[in-house]
Amino acid sequence: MDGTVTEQERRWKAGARPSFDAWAESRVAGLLRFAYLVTGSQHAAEDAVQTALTRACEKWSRVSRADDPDQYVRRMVVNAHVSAWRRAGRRELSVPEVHDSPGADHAEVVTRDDAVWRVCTALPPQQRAAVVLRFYEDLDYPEIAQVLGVAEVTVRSHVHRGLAALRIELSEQEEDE
Amino acid sequence: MDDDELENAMREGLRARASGVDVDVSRREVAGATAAARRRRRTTRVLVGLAAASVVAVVMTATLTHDGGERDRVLDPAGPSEPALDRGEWRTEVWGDVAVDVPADWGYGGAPDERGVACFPGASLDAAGERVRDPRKVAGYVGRPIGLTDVCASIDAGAPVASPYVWLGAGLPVGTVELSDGFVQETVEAEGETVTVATQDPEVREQILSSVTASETCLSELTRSGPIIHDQADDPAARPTTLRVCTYRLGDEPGGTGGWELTSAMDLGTPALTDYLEAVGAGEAPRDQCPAIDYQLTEAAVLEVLDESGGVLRQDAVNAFCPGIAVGAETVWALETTRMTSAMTRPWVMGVVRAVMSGDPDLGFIGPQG
Repeated sequence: MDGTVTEQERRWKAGARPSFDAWAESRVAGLLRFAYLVTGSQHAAEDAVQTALTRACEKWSRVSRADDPDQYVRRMVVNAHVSAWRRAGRRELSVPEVHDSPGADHAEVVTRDDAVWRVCTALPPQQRAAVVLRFYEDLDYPEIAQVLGVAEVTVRSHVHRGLAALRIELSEQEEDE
Repeated sequence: MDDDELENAMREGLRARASGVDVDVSRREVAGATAAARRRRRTTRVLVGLAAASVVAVVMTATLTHDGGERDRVLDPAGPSEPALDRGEWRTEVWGDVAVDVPADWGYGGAPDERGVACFPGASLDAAGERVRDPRKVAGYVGRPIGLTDVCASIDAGAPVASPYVWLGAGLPVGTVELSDGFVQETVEAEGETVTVATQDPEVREQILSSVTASETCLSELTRSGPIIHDQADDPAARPTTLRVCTYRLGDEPGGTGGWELTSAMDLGTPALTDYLEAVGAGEAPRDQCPAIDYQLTEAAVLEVLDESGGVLRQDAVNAFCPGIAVGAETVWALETTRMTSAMTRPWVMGVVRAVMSGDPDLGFIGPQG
């Protein structure tokens, strides 16, 4: 995510509670990117973020008092997606969409990035969320455990499996070359 | 490829994929839909309020009458038993993130949900948590939108009011409504929850509303199976002095976090703590109390052992469905528990706990469909 801290965010961190609209405006792009990585689809990401923001709006006085409202809402995004996945009988809900990578001229990088995405989309939703929270959001294991509502050891297991799958994918790719 | 390189590959791959997301289109879609949802919610809440005011009250087996009021503040000596807790003239009631002070002799009952239906639609328990046969004998009550009974009814603003009340978390819009017999009902929103007060005496109403504040006792939300550790004591060897009871129900809102939501909080003194610790210490060895049964917990309690400064020395999770207590639990849902006995529940299953948890009547709870 964009690591730039705005003056507004500094005020929020200093204790001033943001209005829902101001907070949502500053966060929606990051949440959509996060949700896309978790869900694998732009439509599913929009649905998950919309559901999370609607609920956050309803409970804003509570959410805004949380130590980290972003974490609270990330949890809602993950839960919205995992719940939808469970309601659909544990079938994959979305087909991963292919986007042009900005570094398309670097074939090796593109190939590796594609391998990452293939691995991620093949992971079960909670495992994928753990991997995204660890390597995209840069959360530590206890924070991820809070977001996912699971034990820290479970998070470590999810991340380990994600990395192991990537190692296998990259090895097979190397062998094919 | 070593571990660091592998992690970097994952990081860069995810970053590259995220950078390709069409955020501009999506944020317009999300902003439009979220705004529409907010408008819908506001409209729904207003309609619910109007509907509640116009629906004819269902005739109940226990008919509510209206000649009670604040003048009946003191319990009828011939009526239900005295409150088990002596906490002065006022006590604090907690729901989610909000706390409010109410007269100590008020009992417990239901409050309308988003559909305007309450189970039970009046006072059903007295302040000690004992059943009430005649709602007129109760000075007032604290209602929550929790159904521990199948006796439910739509709340009608035009119907007689049996006693003053405070509703916590009711599905009502903010505002003031004049009820029958001089009762005025005022709903405010605080800490993300509604607090509704209906009295004949405006001073009592004002006193209650002015006490509404953020709760600073139990954790207001717990994830479904996540950790429950809370304000741990600085000194784990400190002397335990207080027993705190936090009750929860599993959230069921669509799209919600699906976690545990706080329904009440109650601090008890050292004698209750001593009795509880003694009973648990004499309990059986922990084991799975529900072998081969696939069940879903919907209500739970966390018992916090506090030191003098309010630090948490230990948290025990209570499974009321397969009665057991997980001593020093890390999550609400613990598989292995010490079989719960009435000696373990007697110190804390009283008052509000009996109004929010069903559990086993042999252990002092109100019981299913009670």
